Amino acid sequence: MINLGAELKEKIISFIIIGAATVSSLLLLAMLIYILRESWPIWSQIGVSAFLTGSTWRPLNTPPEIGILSMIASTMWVAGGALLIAAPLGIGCAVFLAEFAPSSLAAVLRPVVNMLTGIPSVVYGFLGAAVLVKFFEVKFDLASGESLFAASLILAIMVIPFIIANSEAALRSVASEYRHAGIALGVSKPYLTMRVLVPLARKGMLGALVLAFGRAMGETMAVLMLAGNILRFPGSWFDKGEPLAALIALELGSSIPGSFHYQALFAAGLVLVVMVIAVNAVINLLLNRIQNEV
Amino acid sequence: MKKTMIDYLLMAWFWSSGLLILVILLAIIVYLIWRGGAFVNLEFILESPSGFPLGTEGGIFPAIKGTLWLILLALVLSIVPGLMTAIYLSEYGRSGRLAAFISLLVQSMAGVPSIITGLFVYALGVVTLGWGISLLAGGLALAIMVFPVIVVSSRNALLAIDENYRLVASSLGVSKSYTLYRIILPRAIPGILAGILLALGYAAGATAPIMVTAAAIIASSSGALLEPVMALPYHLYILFTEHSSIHHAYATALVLVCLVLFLNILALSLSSLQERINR
Amino acid sequence: MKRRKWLSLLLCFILAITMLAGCAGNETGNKDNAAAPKDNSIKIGGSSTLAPIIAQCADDFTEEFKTWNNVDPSLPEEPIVIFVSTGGSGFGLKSALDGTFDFGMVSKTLKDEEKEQFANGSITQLGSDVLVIGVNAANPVAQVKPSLTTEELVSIFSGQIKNWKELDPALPDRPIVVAVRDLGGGASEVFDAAIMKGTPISEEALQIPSMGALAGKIMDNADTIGYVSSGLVNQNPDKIIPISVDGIAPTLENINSGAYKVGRPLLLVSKDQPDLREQKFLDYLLSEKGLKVVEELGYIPVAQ
Repeated sequence: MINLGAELKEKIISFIIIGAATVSSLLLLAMLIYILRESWPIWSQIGVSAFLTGSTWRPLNTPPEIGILSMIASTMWVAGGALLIAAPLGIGCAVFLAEFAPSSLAAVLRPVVNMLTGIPSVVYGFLGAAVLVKFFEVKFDLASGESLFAASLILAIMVIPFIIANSEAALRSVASEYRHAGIALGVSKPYLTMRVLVPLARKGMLGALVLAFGRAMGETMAVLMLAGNILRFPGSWFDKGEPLAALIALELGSSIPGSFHYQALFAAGLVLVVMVIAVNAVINLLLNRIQNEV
Repeated sequence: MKKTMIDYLLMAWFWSSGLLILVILLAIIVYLIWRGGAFVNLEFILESPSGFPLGTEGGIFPAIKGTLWLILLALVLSIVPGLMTAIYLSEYGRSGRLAAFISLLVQSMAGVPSIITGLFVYALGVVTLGWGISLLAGGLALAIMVFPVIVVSSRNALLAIDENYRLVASSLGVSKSYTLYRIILPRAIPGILAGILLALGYAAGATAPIMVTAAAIIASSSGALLEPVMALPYHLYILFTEHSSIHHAYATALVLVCLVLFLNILALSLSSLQERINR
Repeated sequence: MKRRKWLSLLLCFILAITMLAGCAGNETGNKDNAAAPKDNSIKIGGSSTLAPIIAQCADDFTEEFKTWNNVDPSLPEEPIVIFVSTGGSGFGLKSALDGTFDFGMVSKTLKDEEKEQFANGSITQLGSDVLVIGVNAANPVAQVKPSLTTEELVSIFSGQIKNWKELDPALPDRPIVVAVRDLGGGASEVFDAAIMKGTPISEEALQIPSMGALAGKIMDNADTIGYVSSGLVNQNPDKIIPISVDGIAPTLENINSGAYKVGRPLLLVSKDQPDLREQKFLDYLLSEKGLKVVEELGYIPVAQ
């Protein structure tokens, strides 16, 4: 009798938990459906490939030309660039905090890292515009200092705390036996860290990088002020561009809801979400391979 | 232990990363203090905006209240679903397709531009459910925005608990829910709380989602669920875009950063508590 | 097995709700309006150009009268509560139709289809936002060529001329930085109608998210040229130098006489006829006090 009751209780609890998890995640599905609905006319009239590969964005011309290739490229450049800068810095700092920092320094550094998350993206945007853009203009004698690189720089600072926090947690969860074994064998700490600890923690670290990449792709306010928002296809990292998130934020408020322009912007939003999902899916596949190897 | 060249290079990498981050943040804080510190006084914190144009004088009290209400609501709305999902991912569904699917969904939510989250909540909450531009809608939008952050950090906190606890408990015949409730969760709570406070810092600074769901340029922010509220990042955005009072904008930014600093120091002390428990 | 059945039921339920959310995007929530009790606050939202004006007036109005019965004795003794939000002109139009806002703030010329949607309500013009071609104070163009012809402006803004020296040999050999507002927005439409007349803006032009930021760009960067709200030029007199168009300077007389043509209306729209409170606030906005605010912020009030 007692056994049955306990088992039932277990089933109910696990059902509630699974249910809650599923329902909350379905919220994303709900959002996707909403975006799809708002942008449907674009997909049915223009078609996926034309939308994705067209490089002219003039939605208010007659006939309207809507191709977001330049924006997709800008998004990848900005987010990829941000990760290029943030990953070594973030992981290096996480290793530093987890393994090497003297505890007094760590006690200062950790709140500092956390504080970076609290700085609103608007502030980053305006600081970037006021300080970074001006710096580029003066130092390199550029006509205007906005660029994808400037945006990447600021984005890197914005995502570093997420990388550090999650990577440090991943490192800390590696069993201490490995460290003890390393000391016992006379292996130098840096060697131990890079060859043993980091590989063991790499699943958590990769997860952190993926989260950061998603964040960088979707970040709006900072890139709005720093990327330049030109319509031309960006020629290099140091060129100006218009990432998808900036495109949406810039034009959505003044577009007329229900209009072709509005629908095109939602379509761009859907593309952004799908891009993030695709990146995440690819990384997850790689992670599963890693798990199987071990 | 012989120190090779590579060792020195690696150490240089680790140390310089840590110090560089420290320098960057201090530079940002110093810059904010330099440009806005002079304007943060008791009057600024406790009064409402006034002056011509609006915001050049007076204070930001309703914005502070509004931000606090918004993040409180975001917390209330996201903590149960977020925690449940994290528990599922770490305790119940470590492998398996549903878990992988949910994990993917959660990570992808992090990539949805916050303005689209805002518009979704606008369609659902503000219009269909008739809430209007309201604290409730803003809280929901922010809750959706921070949900992935809570899930990922809570899951990390749960996974960091020594596996032995679970193994010993199950070998003793203790039920899974008991293990979870009595053994795992209490040890993970400081870490989970740290993740929550990190997420709230993120929510406190978000502008785009509240712009279309909750924010007003001027409101009393009394905490009524169906009324618009003022909020610090939005007020900041208005001040900056109107170019009406750059000084007050920096001062507002400073207040917001200090608010988040306070939350994060709280998070830090709680997570170091977790460290001590885990060892 | 049973678990999966429940889960799929849950899924259907969620999908149903999201379908509703999707529908909300298309319908205008008429049913909600009739059912929801009319609460006593006035909610206004939309264009960020109009927002400071309305917010200021709302603040003054509330300060002066405090409760509705002071405005009109037939109204109850309730505190005046007016909320002002932003979100953009498009958002203002949509939300006014949804009933989310009592008034939508719009800073562009309404098309006929748009006007029809407000046929049963109201469209009130408070004034105009004049767009001034502005350059940095350090830019010698203000001395060398204080007026540019429409053709010269078109060639600059379309990217045909890329260098200040090409415009006039007396100017420095510096690239021209063109700053514009987002290409779908009201300001951009005005500029297109008055100057560009269909010629596309250069692909190199920087699209700046707000007028304030555009003004900031001109003030910070000596090579920039852009169109700015007159209000912002007035607020920063020594930092942004206005350029005349075809010899016509953006002075008050030229604007009022219609000689200077680059401007957009500042409108308040509402879906239904304004009720007594809303009408009283509208009257205040159109009164001397309200229009004074419009003027002091640098815009052109509508003639009384």
